Amino acid sequence: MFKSLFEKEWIKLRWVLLAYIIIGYAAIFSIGSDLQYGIKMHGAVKYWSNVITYHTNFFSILKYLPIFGAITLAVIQFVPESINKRYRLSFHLPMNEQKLLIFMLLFGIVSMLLLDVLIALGLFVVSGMFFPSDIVSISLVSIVPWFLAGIITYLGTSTVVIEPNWVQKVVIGITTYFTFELLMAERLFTQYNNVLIYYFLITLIYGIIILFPGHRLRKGSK
Amino acid sequence: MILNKFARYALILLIIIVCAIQLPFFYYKTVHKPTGSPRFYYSPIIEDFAIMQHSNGKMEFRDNQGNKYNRRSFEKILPFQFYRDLSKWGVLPDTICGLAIDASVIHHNSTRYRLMGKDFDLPQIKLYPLFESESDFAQLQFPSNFFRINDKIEFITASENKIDEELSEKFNTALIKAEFKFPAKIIAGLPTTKKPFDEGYFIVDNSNTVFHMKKVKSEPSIVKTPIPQDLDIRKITIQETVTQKVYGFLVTNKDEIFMISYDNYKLLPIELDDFVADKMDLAIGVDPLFMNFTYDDNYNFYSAVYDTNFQFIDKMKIAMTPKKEKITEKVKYALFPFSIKTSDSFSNLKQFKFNMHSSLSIVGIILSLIIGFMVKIKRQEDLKSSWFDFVIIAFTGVYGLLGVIFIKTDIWD
Amino acid sequence: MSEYIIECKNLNHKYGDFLVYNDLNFNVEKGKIFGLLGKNGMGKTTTINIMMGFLRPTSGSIKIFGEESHKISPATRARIGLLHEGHVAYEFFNVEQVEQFYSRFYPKWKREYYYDLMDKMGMNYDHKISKMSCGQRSQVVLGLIMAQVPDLMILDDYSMGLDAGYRRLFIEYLKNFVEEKNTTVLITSHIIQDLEKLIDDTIIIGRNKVLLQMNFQEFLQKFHQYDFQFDGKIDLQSDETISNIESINNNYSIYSFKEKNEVLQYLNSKNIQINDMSEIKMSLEDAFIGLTGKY
Repeated sequence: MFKSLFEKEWIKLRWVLLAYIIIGYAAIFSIGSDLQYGIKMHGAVKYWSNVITYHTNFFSILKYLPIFGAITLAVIQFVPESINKRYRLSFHLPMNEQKLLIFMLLFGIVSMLLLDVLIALGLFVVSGMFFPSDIVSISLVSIVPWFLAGIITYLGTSTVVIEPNWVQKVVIGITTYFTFELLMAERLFTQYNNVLIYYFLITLIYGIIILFPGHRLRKGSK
Repeated sequence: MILNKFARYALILLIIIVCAIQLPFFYYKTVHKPTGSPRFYYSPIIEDFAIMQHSNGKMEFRDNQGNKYNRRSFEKILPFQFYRDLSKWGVLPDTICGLAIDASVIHHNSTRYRLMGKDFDLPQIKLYPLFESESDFAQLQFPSNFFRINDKIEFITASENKIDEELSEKFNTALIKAEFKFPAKIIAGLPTTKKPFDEGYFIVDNSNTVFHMKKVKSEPSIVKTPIPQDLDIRKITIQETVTQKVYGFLVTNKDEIFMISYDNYKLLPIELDDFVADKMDLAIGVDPLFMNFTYDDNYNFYSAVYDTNFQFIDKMKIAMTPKKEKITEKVKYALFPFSIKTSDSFSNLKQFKFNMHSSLSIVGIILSLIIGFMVKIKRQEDLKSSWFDFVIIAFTGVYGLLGVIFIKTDIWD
Repeated sequence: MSEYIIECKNLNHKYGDFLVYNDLNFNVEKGKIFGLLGKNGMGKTTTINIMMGFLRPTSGSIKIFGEESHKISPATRARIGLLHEGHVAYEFFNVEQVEQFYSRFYPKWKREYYYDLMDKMGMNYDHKISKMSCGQRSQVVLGLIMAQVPDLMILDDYSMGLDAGYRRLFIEYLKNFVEEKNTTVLITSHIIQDLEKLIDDTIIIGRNKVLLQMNFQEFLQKFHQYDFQFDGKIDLQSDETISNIESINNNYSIYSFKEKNEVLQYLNSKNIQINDMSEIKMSLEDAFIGLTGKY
């Protein structure tokens, strides 16, 4: 049964995931090319100095990629399952509806995480061409809050999509926005190091909330 | 199923968390008025403190005795700070306290140091440029490499992103010869070319010995300073200034401050009442006659004045209305039973701190319970089965109320 | 009791203040084909939704295979083939993918039933469902339901969006299948003509109430239309004798389960003197409209 569900999600999402990784690597390429040009024009020492002293973020192009990817993923995954009352198809399957929803979410999360790891790898390689390990490691740590914000956005948006009540849709959407926005404010590297654990816990909570509209859809309440 | 009911509470919990972070913050942005922080100076003319403070929409000038000044008369008693205006008006004195002065003398004997509370947790990339200390040229140039010290010192050539083995070996040998114990605990210097000259870096090694490292004519110059090893040094700030009296200053974990003098690194202690290094911002204003240490935690403002021989002269303190007593704070405590802070004015790092407010929040909680009660009655909900909603409101006030109202209960199995 | 696959007891449902129906009672026996009929908006899909646990009724209950409708276990769901109103399907699948998807959920799955139908229709296996016409989609959905080999089929408004050709095709294929497999079927529709040869028992729902509940053939035999002319106004409500009365100018039609004499007597008792009425032979559609009304 899970094989069927896996295939279903894959058929829906394969192009979105491909687009995500392509755009991610286009961004990595852009980072590399900007670094090469910038270092050529201003000198490596000046560039390093800006990064070290002023925390100039040379990879900020990646900042909003996880969030936009997450929204697209959630929409493409869940809208075709909700419009025209299609959720009834899924809920009539001889399977526990909670397991069904959680599986779908896990598919989204795991695929996003895998692609994020690939993008991080790309950043690792590209920044390693121009910077020492001290700078490379700090840049990898600094993208973690952005990836986490992406996961939170994915979970929140999925819940918004399947939520039938409009007021609650909006409330959940606003809550999701004000949550991921908290992770987007890094001015200096590694500012989030001490608090990532709290946001990780918040992400776990976001993983459950989809069962609330899911259950109500199943039971037909408005 | 239980998990589904749990999902509703999970969602309400998220709303509570987001509200606890954002609502007090929005409230703060709405009601916060810039407080006029006092700025302290020490006047050699009146031999007392001169204070400038923004109050009731305009700038007020006074001295410690309570005498009021206008801007012009205020600047006149502070020739070291406002010598350019006094020169322009033609009233700059020739001598002050027996010291012959002119604009040039003042300029060459004045400087400022700063130590912000935030600086203590500034995330750092531990790569440093070691300038040529005795260059043929007047303007300092960036070197082509950066160094780091772990279990040895390494110089990395930036343009190649590779270790310069020869240079690293040279310095490593010099450090070992000077009995440096790796790794380095603190590396302090000023990594900018916008300074008059370069004094390299003060480095605390693993045995708490302070070394002074410079590059002189491309060769390492390592000095093992006599700074005591038992100081428990927290931070060293180095700032090269034309006065060339002190390298900078040093802060210990016991919040003691010492200036590091050019006289064989002798430590000159500075007594500062109530000084807590990571919760206050410190500014040190040096002029030809005095050193003025001003520090504050946004509510209490202090100034301590020393002469240029590091002898204590005078000190004063101004306490602004404690935050707790302001009406706006009381309203905030009544409305919000607690808040979650994600940033702090004395820290560079993001926080996630839970702050309980005060018993005033009973007001907000009771109001929220009443509103929650009324809403549920209007919706014709079964009050008995939604008892936990009221428990939530009782503990979280308006945050829980918003969650419970917007995320409606439903008929469960 | 266990002969009844579906048991509906005192079902009562309201949308806000709007009463859908009151006190609906029916049972569907094993192997029978049950028609839940009525005009659009009378509550047929509501009943299906309640039956499948997608809606909580205001009061009363429906049991499927002995289980309460809102608590049907996954194992029981595997025995029920459900056609959703509008032939709803996963539009992102193609013909091949959708069969592959469902096959793993149902232990009795027989892919031949599906592919026979697809081949008969000449469907390309990589034809995407989103690009199909209503009629083609209805065949895909029917094929999937048959491949499931369910014990009970619930077909909610099989006719929606289909033109006459596809409707006939659907019914023929279905009839063939269920007769062979002795499947119990509950079928709803507002288009009645095609169902004549298919349905055993029926319930016809009208506005706020059940209009009729009986064996289908019995309905066709016992329901009459009588036409007559009368000058003047006739103000009669529906009751036991008169199911429905309609008029254009002074041409009246009375629909009734009673014999002609009974109806004449009844009219006389209401001071409506009629000399003669002619009984009109009705088609199935006429009978349906006669019972439910033109509007």
